[in-house]
Amino acid sequence: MVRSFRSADRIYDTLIAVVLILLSLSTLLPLLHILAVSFSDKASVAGGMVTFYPIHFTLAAYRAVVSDHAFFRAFGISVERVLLGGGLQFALTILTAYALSRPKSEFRSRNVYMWVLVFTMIFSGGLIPFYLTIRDLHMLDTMAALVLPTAVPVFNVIVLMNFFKSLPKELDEAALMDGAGPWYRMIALYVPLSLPSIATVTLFSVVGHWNAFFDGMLLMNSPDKYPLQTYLNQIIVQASLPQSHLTPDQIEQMAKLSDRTVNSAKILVGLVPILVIYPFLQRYFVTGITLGSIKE
Amino acid sequence: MRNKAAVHYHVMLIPAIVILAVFSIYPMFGALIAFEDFKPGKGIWHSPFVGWDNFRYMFSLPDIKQIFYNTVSIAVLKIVFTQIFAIVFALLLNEVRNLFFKKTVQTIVYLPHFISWVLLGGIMINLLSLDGIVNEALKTLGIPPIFFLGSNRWFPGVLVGTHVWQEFGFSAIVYLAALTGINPSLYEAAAIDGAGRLQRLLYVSLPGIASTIILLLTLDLQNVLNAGFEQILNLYNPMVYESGDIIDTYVYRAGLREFQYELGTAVGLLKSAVSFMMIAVSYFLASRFANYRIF
Amino acid sequence: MYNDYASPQLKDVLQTDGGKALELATVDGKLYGIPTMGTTHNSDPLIWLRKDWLDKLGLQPPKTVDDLVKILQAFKDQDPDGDGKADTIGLPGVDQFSKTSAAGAPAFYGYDAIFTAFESYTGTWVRGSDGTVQYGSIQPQTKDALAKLNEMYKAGLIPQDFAIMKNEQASEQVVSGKAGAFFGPWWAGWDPLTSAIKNDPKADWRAYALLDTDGKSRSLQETPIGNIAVVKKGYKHPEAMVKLLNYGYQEQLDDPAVAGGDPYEGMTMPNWQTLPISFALWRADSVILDHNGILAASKGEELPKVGAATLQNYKTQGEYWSKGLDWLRQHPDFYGEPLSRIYGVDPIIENNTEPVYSEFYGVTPTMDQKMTNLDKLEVDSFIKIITGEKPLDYFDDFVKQWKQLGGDQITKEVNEALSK
Repeated sequence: MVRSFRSADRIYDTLIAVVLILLSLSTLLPLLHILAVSFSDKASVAGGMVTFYPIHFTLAAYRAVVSDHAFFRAFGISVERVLLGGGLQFALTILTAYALSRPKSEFRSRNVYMWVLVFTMIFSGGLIPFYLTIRDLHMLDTMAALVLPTAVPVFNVIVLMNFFKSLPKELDEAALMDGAGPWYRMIALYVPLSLPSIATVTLFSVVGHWNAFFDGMLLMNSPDKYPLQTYLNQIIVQASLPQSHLTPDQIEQMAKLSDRTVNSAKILVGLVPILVIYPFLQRYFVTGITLGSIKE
Repeated sequence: MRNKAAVHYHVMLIPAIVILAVFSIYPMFGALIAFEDFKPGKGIWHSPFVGWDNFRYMFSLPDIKQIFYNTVSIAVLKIVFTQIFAIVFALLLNEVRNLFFKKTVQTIVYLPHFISWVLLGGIMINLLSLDGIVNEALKTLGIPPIFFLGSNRWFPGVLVGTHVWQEFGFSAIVYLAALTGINPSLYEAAAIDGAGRLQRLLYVSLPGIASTIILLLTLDLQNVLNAGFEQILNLYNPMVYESGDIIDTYVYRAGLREFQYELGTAVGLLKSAVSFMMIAVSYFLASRFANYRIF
Repeated sequence: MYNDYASPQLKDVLQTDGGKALELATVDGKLYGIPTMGTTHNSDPLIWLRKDWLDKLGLQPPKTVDDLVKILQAFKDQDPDGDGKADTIGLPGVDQFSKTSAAGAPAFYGYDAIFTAFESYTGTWVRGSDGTVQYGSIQPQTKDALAKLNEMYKAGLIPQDFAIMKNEQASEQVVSGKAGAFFGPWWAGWDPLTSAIKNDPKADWRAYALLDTDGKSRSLQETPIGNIAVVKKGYKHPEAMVKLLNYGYQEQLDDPAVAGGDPYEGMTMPNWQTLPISFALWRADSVILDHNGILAASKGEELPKVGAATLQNYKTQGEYWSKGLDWLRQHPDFYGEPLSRIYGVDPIIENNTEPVYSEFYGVTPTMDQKMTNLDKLEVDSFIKIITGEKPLDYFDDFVKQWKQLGGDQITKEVNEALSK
C-alpha cells in the first residue's frame, strides 16, 4: 500500500489523535467518576465530595450487590439468556437478512416479507396485549418468554441485509456457475465475507439481552427467575418511590439502599461482561474484505 | 432454477415469520384499547367502544401543540447530531493506524451508552448547576454563569448534547464496520490519482458509507416521537417544562392520577403511525433521488 | 360484611387515623373496600437546624418564619463552621418546593412550612368562610408566603437555582456541611442525617416546628388513603379477603405466634410485600406512638401495648437513646432511628401540631384534563415571583388565569361532588 509520509500526513495524524484523545477523555471521566463513587463510602458520595478517586475506600457497595446467592442466580440467568437468546438471534438474523437480500428477480415475494418486518418494527399493541399473549401461551415465568419474543431483531436484520446487498453480484454469479445452491452460498460465501457486520449485530444482540430488565420485571413472577438487571433494579429501591405513605421499614430501606454507591457498582458490574465480549468481537471489525475470488 | 431458489428463501424466512406473527402481530390487536374506554375487568374485547374519543381527548390537552413541537424538534436534533458526530468520529478513527489506540478509543467511547439516566442525571445536574464545574470554567474565561438546566433557551441544547455524548459511540460501531468493508483498492486508486488524506476521506470513505448513513438515519427516524423519556424525566424541572416537556413526560404526569391505559395506548398508536409515515417518506426520497432501495 | 368479619384489632387499627381512610372508602354509606391509611404527621415539614451552629452564633431556636430568616442570614454570613470560607448557605432548594395537587404530601426540602405558616395550603382544597370549598393555592395568603420567599431569595437565603435541584442535590448540601438548616420530616434522621453525621460527628441536629401567624402549629398531611383492597363483584367468598387482612394484621402488628407463626421469618425483604394481599397496613398514629414507646423504654418506664416485633424495637432503640447523643454520633449506623423518633417527633408533640387535610381527595372530569396544566401554571408562576422575574402582583394575574383555564370549572365540580 502506498503511504507517503509527507509532513502533511504527520500533521493530520497528530490532529486526529488529539481530537480522539479529547473525546475519549470526555467519555472516560464520567466513568472514572462512577468508578470512584462505587468504591467510596455513602456519606462522602451523598455530600458530593467524590470526584475522580474514591474517598474512604470501601467495598461496601460491591458487597451489597454481590452478597446474595440471588445475585449469582440472576447472573446465571442472564448468561443463559444471552447464550440462548443471542444464539437464536444470531441464527435468525443471518437467515432472514440473507433471504431478504435476494433480488426481486430471484425472489418475487421478497418485498411483501420486507414490509411485514418493517411493520412489526414500528407498530406495537402495547404492553398489556403483549403480556396477555405471553400469559395465554403459558410462557410466563419461563426462559422462553425472555428469549423468544425478541428472536427476530428487525433493526439488526435490516443492517445485516444491507451489508449482504452491498456485496458484488459477481460473487453470486460465480458461485451459481459453480452450481452452488442458496444455502451453500449463504454459509460458505456471504457469512465469511460479512464478519464485520455480523460481529456488529451480534454485539447489539448480546448487549440487548444482557441489559434487558423490563421484560424480566413484566413477565417473571418469581424473583428467582429474574435476570440480572431486573434483580439489580429490584434490590435498589427505585427513587420513584413517592415520599408519602412510606412505612417505617421502607424509610429505613430507602436510606440504606437508594444510594449512589450501590447504583454505581451495579452499572460497573453490568459493564464487565460487555468489556469482555467487546474486544473479542472487535477483531472482526478490523477485517477487510478480500475479493481475490473475483477478477474484473 | 430461479423458482427452486425462491422456495429455499421462503423456508429461510419461516422461523422469523412465525415468531413475529405470534409475538408482534397478534398483540397488535391490543391496539384496540386506544379506541375503547378500557376497563381491566372486562378485558380488551369487552370494554365499551368509544371511537376516536381518546384521540380527541389527547389533542384537547392544553399546550399539546408546544408538547408536540418539543418532542419533534428535540428528537430530530438528537438524531441529526448524533449521526453527524458518529460519522465524523468513525471517519477519524478509521484513519488511525495504531491498532491498540484504535481499539481502546472505540471501547471507551462506547461505554456511556450503558449508564442509566438515573445516575447520569445526578452527574449532569452536578456538572451543569450554577456552581458546577462547567460554570466555574466559564467564570475563569470571564463569561457569566449560564443557567443550563433552568433556562428554556439552553435546556434543549443540554438534552441534545448529553444524548449525543452518550450515543455516538454506539452508532459509530456500525459505521466503522461499514468502513472496513470498503475495498482497499479504491484507496490505492485514489492515492495514485494524487488524492491527499483529506480528499481520500471525502471521496472514498464517505461515499463508501453513504448507504449506511441513509439506512441508519431512516431507522432512526422512526423514533421521531421518542425524544428520550428517561433522560428528560431525570433532568427536567418545572422551570423548563415549556421547552422540555415531551409527549411522554406530559402523559406520565397526567397519568399519575389514574392508570390511563387508553391514553397511553392511543399515544403509542399515534407515535407508530407517524413513524410509519416517516419511514415511508424517507424510503421514497432515497429511492427517488439516490436511487437507493433502503429495504 | 366488614363489620362482621373484621377482627376487633383490625377495626382498631383502621380507626387510628380518626376513621378518615374508612370515610374516604365509603360511598353512599357503603364501604367499598378496606383501605390503607396515611400515617398522621408522617410528612409534617419541620425545620432541622444545627444547634451547635446556633449556640456558636448565640442564637435562639426559631418560633416563627422571621426568626428563621434571621438564623439563615447568620448561617450564611457569619461562618458558623469556622473555616474562614464563605461556604455555608441558608436553605437548600428543591424542584418540588410547594405541594401541587398531584403530590401526595409535602416534599422533603420543600418550602411548604413557610407557606403553611402563612396559612396558605397549596395544592389542597380548603373550606372558605362562605362555606364553599376553594383551592388553597389561589388564596390571598399565598401571596404573603410568596412575598416572604422572594425576600429570602433576594437575600441569598434560598439558592438561585433552587428549582432545578433534585432531592439528591439538596441532600448533598446538608451532608457536605454547607447547609445547617433544611426542611424535612421527622424521619430525616435516617437520611440525610446519618450521612451528615458520618462526615461531621460534631453536628448537633435538632428539629423545630414553625408557628403560624396566630401562634399555632399546623401541617399539611399526606393523602389519608393509600391502596384499597377490593373484591371482584360476584366473588363467592368476600369475607376471605377480610380474614386475610386479619391475618396480615396479626402477623405484622401483633403477635405472629397467634397467627400461626411467621412464614417469612429471617428474610431480608419486608414482610408485608410477601403477604397474600400485599397491604401496608400500619397504625396511622405510629409516629407518636412509637416515639412514646421508645422514650419510655429508654427511661425504663411502662411500654404501650403493641405487637411483639414493635415492642422489641422499642427496647432496642430505647437502649441506644439512653446511651446519649455523643454515643449515637460516634456510631452513625445506629444514629438515624433514635434521633428521628425522639428529636424528630418532639416538636410535633410539644407544639401540638394540628393536622390539616384536604377537603377533597377525588378526581373530577375536568381535573383529569386540565389539572396537570394548572399545576404547571402554578409552579411556573410561583417560581417567577420568588425569583423576582415577575412582580408580586403578578399573583393576581395568575389567579385570574388559573380560574379561566379550568380552575373555576374544577372548583364547581368539587363542590358538587362534596354535596352529594
